[in-house]
Amino acid sequence: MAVDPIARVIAPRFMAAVFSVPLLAALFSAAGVGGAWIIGVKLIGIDDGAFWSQMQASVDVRIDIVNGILKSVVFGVAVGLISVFEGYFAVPTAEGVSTATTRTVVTSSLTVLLLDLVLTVMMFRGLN
Amino acid sequence: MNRSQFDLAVGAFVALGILALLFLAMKVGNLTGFDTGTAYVIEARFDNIGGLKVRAPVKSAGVVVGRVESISLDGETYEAVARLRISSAFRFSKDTIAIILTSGLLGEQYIGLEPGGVPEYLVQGDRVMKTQSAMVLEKLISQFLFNKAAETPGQTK
Repeated sequence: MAVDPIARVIAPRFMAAVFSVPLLAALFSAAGVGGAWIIGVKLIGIDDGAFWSQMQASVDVRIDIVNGILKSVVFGVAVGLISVFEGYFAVPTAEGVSTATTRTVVTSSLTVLLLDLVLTVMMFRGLN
Repeated sequence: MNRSQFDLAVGAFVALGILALLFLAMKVGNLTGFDTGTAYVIEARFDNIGGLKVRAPVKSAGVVVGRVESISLDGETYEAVARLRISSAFRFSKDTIAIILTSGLLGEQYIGLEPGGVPEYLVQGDRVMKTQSAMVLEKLISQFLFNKAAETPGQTK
């Protein structure tokens, strides 16, 4: 085949992971806040203004939001790399593909766990 | 799914993600505050700051006029040094009193500024001369108990 698999298959998927994971992280954070708003304000009946002022008092842009997005970028790179690596070196049989998928999930979860610890220590070392 | 539909879905996803980011920054993080504006830093020394934290609000008459930028300990006088970043929109006279207050009974602690009457104003790097430390609950309780213990012998009979 004259098609370069790295440029044609691997790179787009890796880049897609790097870009979409931070977007997903932002989306999920917003969905979390939105869900809290629905439960708190609509269902339980907390005052709308009190909800947002408490939210703004306890959430800091740099500490909470920027650090969260930063973490998701690192996770996106790590998971993207692991996934394309496992996919590229997978044995091209039904069994090989399923083994590679399982390995990807397990390795990614553990890597995210480890990176999360390291990033948290790095980000919150100077605080309090 | 053909190519244009696929592109549309990707575009919608990216737009939604950016929208979520904007929502987080504006509504949740309150980036629209005066944090971006010009400000000056003044210094206040307290005997005890209690549970005051960095980024705690600095309020005057209940309105937030700034934030606590940093807290450190003076190694010689053993006083807590709090540096307050005040928005340039507000000026405070030189004899302003800084008090550590608590919002609500068990709420977070903040610094209250009680403006004085001198026509000169605090500028960048100035120090607030009059301060009042935080009320520490344990000290209040022990003071109360000591007073109680001191007055009981006289009151029996």
